[in-house]
Amino acid sequence: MDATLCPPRLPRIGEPAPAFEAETTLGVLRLEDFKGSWLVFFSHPADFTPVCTTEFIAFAQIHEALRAKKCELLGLSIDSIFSHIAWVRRIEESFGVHIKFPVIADLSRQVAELYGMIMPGESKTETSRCVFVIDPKQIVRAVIYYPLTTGRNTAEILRLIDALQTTDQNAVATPANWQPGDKVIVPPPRTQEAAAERVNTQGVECLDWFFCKKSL
Amino acid sequence: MACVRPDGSLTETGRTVLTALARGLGEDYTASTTGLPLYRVRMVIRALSDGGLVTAAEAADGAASYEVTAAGRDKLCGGR
Repeated sequence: MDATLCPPRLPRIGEPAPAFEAETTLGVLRLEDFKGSWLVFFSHPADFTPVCTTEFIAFAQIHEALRAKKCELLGLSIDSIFSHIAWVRRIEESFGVHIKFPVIADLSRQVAELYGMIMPGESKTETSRCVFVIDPKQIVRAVIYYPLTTGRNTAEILRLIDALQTTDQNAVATPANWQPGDKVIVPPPRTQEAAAERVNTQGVECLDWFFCKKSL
Repeated sequence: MACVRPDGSLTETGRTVLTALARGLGEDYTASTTGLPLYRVRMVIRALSDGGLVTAAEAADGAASYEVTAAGRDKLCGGR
């Protein structure tokens, strides 16, 4: 395929996550190895840099909480496997944090380009801080992009997984700043008849025919 | 091969997965009994298969099943 005619584009929400095979700190891995699990696939600009180090520590700290939600973690940067190994060992020695999730060594930039992780306006050689949430059927469900300068909020990533899983399990939506245990949004009716029925539905609190919440 | 050391011996992870497969466990049961994430089990099985230590077959219900080869049993039973 001619890249000038068909430039790579960002994987979009609702589309299958692009397949790949890559060398990681745990061995050669394929995206399909994660089938059946949720996956938080994130990129960082470079090993041995300060913001990235804080992020790796933060991701490591939510790793077990993610696994309890049947969600795995996978990192990536355009660094060599030796750099990755040295860096995670340094994090363990200096910060006492064990990095147990795999990190892709994407020196060829194959995966980074497949996922649109490079923002040339920021850097032509480093990935930005990208997060792809991929569901057990390997569909992209959410995308987060942060600049090189700004570390991500891993509590938000945990909340996002909770929200998506709640949506899938209950056929509901979640409002702004939703936290587990809060009321959820009942999808709005799509016919006049359904709208008339909705405002009289038991167990549903409606401020208007299109704005209804319920407890799970 | 990620699960075989330069001296030809199995890594701990490689041995754990190969042992489970030799006991007739599939990938899901291997993950649940060993505590390894399922994706890791799949990675190791692929590496063992690439190294000729395991072969894959499709069971009647369509699930993947695995058989340890003679070379795989040598690795397990030879203690390396």
